[in-house]
Amino acid sequence: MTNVISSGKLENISPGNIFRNPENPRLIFRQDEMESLMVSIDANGILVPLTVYRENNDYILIDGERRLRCAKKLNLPSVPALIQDKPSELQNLLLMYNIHALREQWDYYTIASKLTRVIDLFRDDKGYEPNEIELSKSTGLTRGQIRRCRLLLDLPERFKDMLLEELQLPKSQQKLSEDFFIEMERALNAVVRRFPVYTENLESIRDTLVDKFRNGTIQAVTDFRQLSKIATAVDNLEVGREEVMSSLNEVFDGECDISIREAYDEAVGFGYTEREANLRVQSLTNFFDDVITSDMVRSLDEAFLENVRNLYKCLDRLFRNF
Amino acid sequence: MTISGLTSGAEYLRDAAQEFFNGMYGNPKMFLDEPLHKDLSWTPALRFTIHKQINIFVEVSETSPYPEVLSLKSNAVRNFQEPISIYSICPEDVKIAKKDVVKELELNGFGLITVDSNKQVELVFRAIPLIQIIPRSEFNSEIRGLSKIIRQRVSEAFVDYNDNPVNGVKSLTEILEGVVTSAWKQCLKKGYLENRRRNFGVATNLDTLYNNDRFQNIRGPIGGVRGYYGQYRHLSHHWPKNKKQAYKKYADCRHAFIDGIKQIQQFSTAIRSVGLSVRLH
Repeated sequence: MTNVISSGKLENISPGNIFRNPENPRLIFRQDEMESLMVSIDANGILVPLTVYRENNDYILIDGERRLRCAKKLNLPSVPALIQDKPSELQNLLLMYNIHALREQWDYYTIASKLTRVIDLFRDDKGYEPNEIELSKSTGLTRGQIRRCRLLLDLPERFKDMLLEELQLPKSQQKLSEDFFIEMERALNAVVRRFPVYTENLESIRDTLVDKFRNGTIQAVTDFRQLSKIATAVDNLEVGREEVMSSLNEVFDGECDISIREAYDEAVGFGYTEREANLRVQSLTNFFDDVITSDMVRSLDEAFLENVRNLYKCLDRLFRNF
Repeated sequence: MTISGLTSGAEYLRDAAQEFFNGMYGNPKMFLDEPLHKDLSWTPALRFTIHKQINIFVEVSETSPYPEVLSLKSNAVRNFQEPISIYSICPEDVKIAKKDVVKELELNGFGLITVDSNKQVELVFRAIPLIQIIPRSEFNSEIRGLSKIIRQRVSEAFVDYNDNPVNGVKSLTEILEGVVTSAWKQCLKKGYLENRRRNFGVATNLDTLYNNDRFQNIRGPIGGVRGYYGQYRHLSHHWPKNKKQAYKKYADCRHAFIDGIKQIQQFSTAIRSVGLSVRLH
């Protein structure tokens, strides 16, 4: 990544002669931020030059798309720009990643599709496929971001198109976000790892989940985490496979309007709550052991002791029911 | 790969606006993200011309019915020598969530269209050329001090003005005529004028009042009304031939309307000072 950009020449260029970088991921620009920048540029001009490279008689943008959009909106006759040497395709792609990774304007889908090209060019250049660490190092993406991109890359084309269509809408009208697909894919991975039987119906399962999300049966993208927990209950809670599959079947059935939350509460909700309570009891028991061993009983706070007395009464009632 | 719009969802809204206005105005030539002139420091998302003389600008806004650029550039638009009407287009839910902002947009003369989640476009209110606009606050300040009946009549004329500025000025001039005629009749009744001097028409009557020594202390307001009447009585209904003429016509109407209110105000004060009352029939 070093030595990609040599020192450039500063020139004033008409914004009409500057074009988007074909390797630039589609970025998300928030209106309030853009308007603040526009007001600032209207008052003070562009204080930091854009970075471009020359392509025939035009210029291709390397950095400064927000400034360029504002300049066009304000019909500025020219903008200051540093003109750099034309980078190679791989250098150009990696530049785009490194410039924009720092600013968190990610549109995961487009970044994911560019990632495939990075992997291809890297393989051509080095003779082997980059691992996750190498990809992270060269693109500036975190390993978590790369994994999220891969979840989108592995989606069937039909769902990628669905997502792309959704991304064209104004933010307030978008229902199926990238987060939706990422969370859904994570959950489905957890399901098919434990229940490979669902693999062959995965497409129709996705359709059902999309429909249930659109009609509000699935209320939030984070509900998919509960779907993962239903599937992993066979390992974590030792719930029977049949019982888990019965819940999953209800969620995956388009005719059945049960939500993920309902299925979770019904099948494994109590089990997970009990598991969490068990951890707290263990932690509390360890604390009491420590207090007694280190002779700190008299140092305990009165309010805490009152709560412990209440706990004692509660435990008494509990054991009487056995 | 060209860059269009300020934000990423701009194209969707712009396309919806384009389709809507194509249907409304019969496919005028549309310009997408193209400035009107190098001297106007704003590139609207969409623009076109209607009636060969009024520029329509459309600006998209994802999160507010009132995009910042409208406030930022309204003076530049007003001073540009062509009439420009401006619409904002935003998602319908944004309009519903920001009713105060929508009201402000309308009061400032901008138009609004919205797009719902089924891509249905709705015209909420129309835009009027910015040069024509007299903000409600300015209007209210101008009519302060007028009698109740005249305020009502002037407000009716203001409604006419916002719909059609020439008609609005005509309505206002008629109010001014009414006030002058009323004063003239009172003068005849009180014997301030010779009885043989009947009603000759507003211009002649004003000249007579001006030359009457009884009114020498209010010659200023009488002369002001006379000058106004001569200039705007027959404000042309002719269709302007080009955008420059159209701009001048809108600018003249705006000036005529505000100046007309001032003339009514000054003339009323003046005739009261010589013992006459302000009446309208």
